[in-house]
Amino acid sequence: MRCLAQRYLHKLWPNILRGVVMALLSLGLCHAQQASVSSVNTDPKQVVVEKYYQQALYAYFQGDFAQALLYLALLEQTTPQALTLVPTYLRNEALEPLLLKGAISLAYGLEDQAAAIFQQSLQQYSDSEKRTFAWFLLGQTYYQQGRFEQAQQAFLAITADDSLVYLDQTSRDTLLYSQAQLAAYFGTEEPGAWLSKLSADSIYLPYLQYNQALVLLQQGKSQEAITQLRQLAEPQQSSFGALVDGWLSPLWQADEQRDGDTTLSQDEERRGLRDRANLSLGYVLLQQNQAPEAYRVFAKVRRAGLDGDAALLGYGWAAAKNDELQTALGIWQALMQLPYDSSFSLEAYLASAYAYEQAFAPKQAVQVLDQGVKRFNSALQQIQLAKQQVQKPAFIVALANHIDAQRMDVPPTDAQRSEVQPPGSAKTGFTQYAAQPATTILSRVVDAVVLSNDFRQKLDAVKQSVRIQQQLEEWQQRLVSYHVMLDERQAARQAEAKNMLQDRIFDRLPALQAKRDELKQQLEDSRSQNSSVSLMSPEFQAWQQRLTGAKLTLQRIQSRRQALNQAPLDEAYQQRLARIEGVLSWQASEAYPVKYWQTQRLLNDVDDALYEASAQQQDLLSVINQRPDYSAQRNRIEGLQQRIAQQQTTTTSIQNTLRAELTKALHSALQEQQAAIEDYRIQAQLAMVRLQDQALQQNQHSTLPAVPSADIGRPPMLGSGQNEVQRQDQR
Amino acid sequence: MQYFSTLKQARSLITLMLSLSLLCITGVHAADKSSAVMAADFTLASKAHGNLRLQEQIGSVVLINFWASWCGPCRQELPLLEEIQQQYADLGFTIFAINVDKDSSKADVLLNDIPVSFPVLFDPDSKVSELYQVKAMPTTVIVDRDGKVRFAHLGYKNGDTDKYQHIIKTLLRE
Amino acid sequence: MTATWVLLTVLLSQLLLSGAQAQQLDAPKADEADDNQLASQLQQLKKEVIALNRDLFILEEDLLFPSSTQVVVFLAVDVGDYFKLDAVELKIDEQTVSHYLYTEKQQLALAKGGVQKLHLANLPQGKHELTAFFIGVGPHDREYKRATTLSFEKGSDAKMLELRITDTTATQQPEFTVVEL
Repeated sequence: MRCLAQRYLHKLWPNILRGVVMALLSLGLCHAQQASVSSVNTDPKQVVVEKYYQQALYAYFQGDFAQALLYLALLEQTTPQALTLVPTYLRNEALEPLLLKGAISLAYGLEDQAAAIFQQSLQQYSDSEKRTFAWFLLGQTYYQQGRFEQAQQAFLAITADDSLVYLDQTSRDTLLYSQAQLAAYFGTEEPGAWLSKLSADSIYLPYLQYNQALVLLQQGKSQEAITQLRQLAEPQQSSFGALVDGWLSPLWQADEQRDGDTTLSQDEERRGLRDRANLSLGYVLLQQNQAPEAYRVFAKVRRAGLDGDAALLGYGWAAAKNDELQTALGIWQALMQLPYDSSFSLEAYLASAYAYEQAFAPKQAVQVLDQGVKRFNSALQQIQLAKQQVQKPAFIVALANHIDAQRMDVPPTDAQRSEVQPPGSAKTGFTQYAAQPATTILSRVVDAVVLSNDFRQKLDAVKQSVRIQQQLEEWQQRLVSYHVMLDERQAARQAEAKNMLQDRIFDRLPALQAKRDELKQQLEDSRSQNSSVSLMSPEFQAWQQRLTGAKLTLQRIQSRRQALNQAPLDEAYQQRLARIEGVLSWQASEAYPVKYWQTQRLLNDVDDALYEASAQQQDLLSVINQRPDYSAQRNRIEGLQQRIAQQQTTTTSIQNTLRAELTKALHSALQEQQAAIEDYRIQAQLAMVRLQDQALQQNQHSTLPAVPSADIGRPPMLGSGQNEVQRQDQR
Repeated sequence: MQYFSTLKQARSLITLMLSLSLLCITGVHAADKSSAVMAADFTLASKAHGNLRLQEQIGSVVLINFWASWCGPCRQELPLLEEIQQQYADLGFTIFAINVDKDSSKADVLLNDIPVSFPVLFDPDSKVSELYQVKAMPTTVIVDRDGKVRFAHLGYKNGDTDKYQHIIKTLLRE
Repeated sequence: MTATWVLLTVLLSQLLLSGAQAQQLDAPKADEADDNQLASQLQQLKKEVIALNRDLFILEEDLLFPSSTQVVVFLAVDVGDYFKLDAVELKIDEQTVSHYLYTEKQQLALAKGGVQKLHLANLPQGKHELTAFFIGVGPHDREYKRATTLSFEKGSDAKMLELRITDTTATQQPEFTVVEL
């Protein structure tokens, strides 16, 4: 027994070994497979979620917030709470999906949604980095919405350390600036306290400095204000904006781009700020009776900048206070000769009249006032026209589109010097350098009104509504084209069906059926005859026929012979035929079962083919008869069309409301301007009456020298005006 | 109720200017904004500026100029375009000079003599030319800050670049 | 004289006022309730528009690229330290279907984790071959042109393929693969 077992074992051993090895291997494979399955999640929904999220990131980092929100919306539709399914390896750079969604909503203008998301995040997260971001973004949302108290509280929740560690530089600067503004708003702290914390190259720094200067002025600390303004007025080294990094970078870059002017270089901004600082400084110095200083400061304001006109007027006042009446008059004359009406240029008339009065030249004063009144009247007419223009509905929309403009500071080329010639001025001077400005009083008024935040916001809302309208319109057209496409598809299907019928694809069927019948018949015959003669090959059949033919011939010969009384044929023929017959019948019977079986099988095959063909035919017929009308898709399209139409009406109504409010604001601004100009007119008329009396009383030469217009291209030398007047008298 | 961000509020003072005046100069107008069509977007490789996409230039005014090495007037036009670029580059303006030669190295024939600072793009397969239905050389298309086509001009004659300048100034002021 | 002072102070106060208004925050206004309502209406409109966009997107996919024939090719880049992608050319079954050039902005977005939907196609069920050519600049400013191929079987579900560019710090070379998702 044992040797038997041994022998078997010996034989079986390699097999057993092999079996064990295989078992181990398969176990190992199983394990490995399991491991790989767990790491590569083959759940298709997970893949879809991941892909949508990553596509949202792609759109977000290019600044396309609408597209990013679209992908997030698609993501959330796959499963509820889909955002939590985003795997950790996609959450790099502190890019929490929920926070990201909130940030994009904020950038796109969905502030309520953003606020809700951030509040939810705060409830959910305990990680300090995420909380810092959540507080920061929540504060920004409240700030944007105008809920300043809540904004302040939100910002207070961020400790300085956290902000240093977690926030990137631009975000930190924004945070500091917002806090500074809020502090100033609530009057708790002065802007200056925040100055030290801002990074050196932040664009906010000069703004804060300027605000602080204003505050100092209001408090009466003029000297400190002057120092601050002077500091501001110094051209600083232009610094390249801090490398905007961190995952919030698209938000800050979007701010620059949303106005449509990505070209607003920080240099340009700083120059504008410097102008404003210089202007304020000049006025303060005037108040402090430091006229020569004021001179110099006013000259530094860029003539073509926003504050150029104000600077000119103030410049004139500086000269006047310095008793440089000639210069002052020259300057104001330049202002008066500008082709457009601004409050400054109109005031120049009154100021010139004052100067003439001081120079004891009442006749000139009256002249100037006369011109002034005419100018005032024309300006008032323009305002009337403007009021009508503002009422037109298309006006506001055009305004919304143009509002993304940027004040141009075009360096004058030779071509421009010859081009821009305000009427009446012959010399090169400040006026030549002005960019071709708005020539209507309406534009000036709009300039002023547009400074108010409320107006700008509503105007931007109008612009967004226009964009939405365009988008909805485009979608409607697309849906109509889909309807057409479905019609085309339907038509194509029917054409295909017709082609199929023409292709005689159904002719196969009868042919098959005929064949089947034939085979069946053969089988029947052979079965009934119990011989397989009919089943045999054609060759065999031919032999059989020949045999039959031969037998017949033989019979015929026999009968003929008999009839002719000749000797019958040899038996051998008969025998040979009999033998052949015997061979044939033996072959047939041998082959019978095989042949029968073959034929039966052939019959079965043909049956199958027939069945298949008829099934196919049924399918094709049903498909053709189905007349697909794509009803489900059509319903979806119509549903979307209805929703779009609904949103279109909403958009229109919102736009109308906004337009009405904006028109009202413009109208009231025009009214104000009208009142101001009418006031000027009254002043001028009163002064004229007074001065005419003076002129009558005084002994007037009519040959007073004409006042030469000063060359304002360079700052005038102190005292030179007097020399000029003397020189002219000597002529 | 605030719609905007702090940045905008802060910068609103400096960044505002409204010009409602349209610049009409002897019949050369920029097309009306409301009826303008969006310029078709494309991305092309450039000589020295990487790959450039038209849609990323939204916010700047773009002058698209289709040119080829065999086109004589292009040789006259390029230096003038360079001048325009120098003048307005800081104000949000750029030129896309699209070379449509099948063999891009031919562009160097002109570029070696006329150095330009604006991007030169290559369209050897004429994809973009077909997009813009370019029929003559050179063709100039001016696109405004919102990406809408406001001006199109076929060919080049003396004085055309002045027309371009006027249009560009108007569009820059928007 | 008084006229001067009046004018001057008026000017200065105007200046200060306008300056202050622009720089500092507006005080709450009387008709704030209306403004709030208008703002929330606008926000609601925007949300509806996004929802519409989403539904339109899904409809278009169903109509134009039904899942029985849909094949989508994504592109993902894993930290572009070793390779700056300039262009990608895609061939399906020996036919060029896409030649995409990448701008700097797009390269940055890819490097930060974004994935681009490079190509969407309708293919019949069965075997197909996808070849992708990557053109760009590798380490040491060398020009790269690499290709990968994948044979895949299109079944009845939507097929998702992804082109992956990964950096291998081991060899400091970029790796290009195509995987089925």
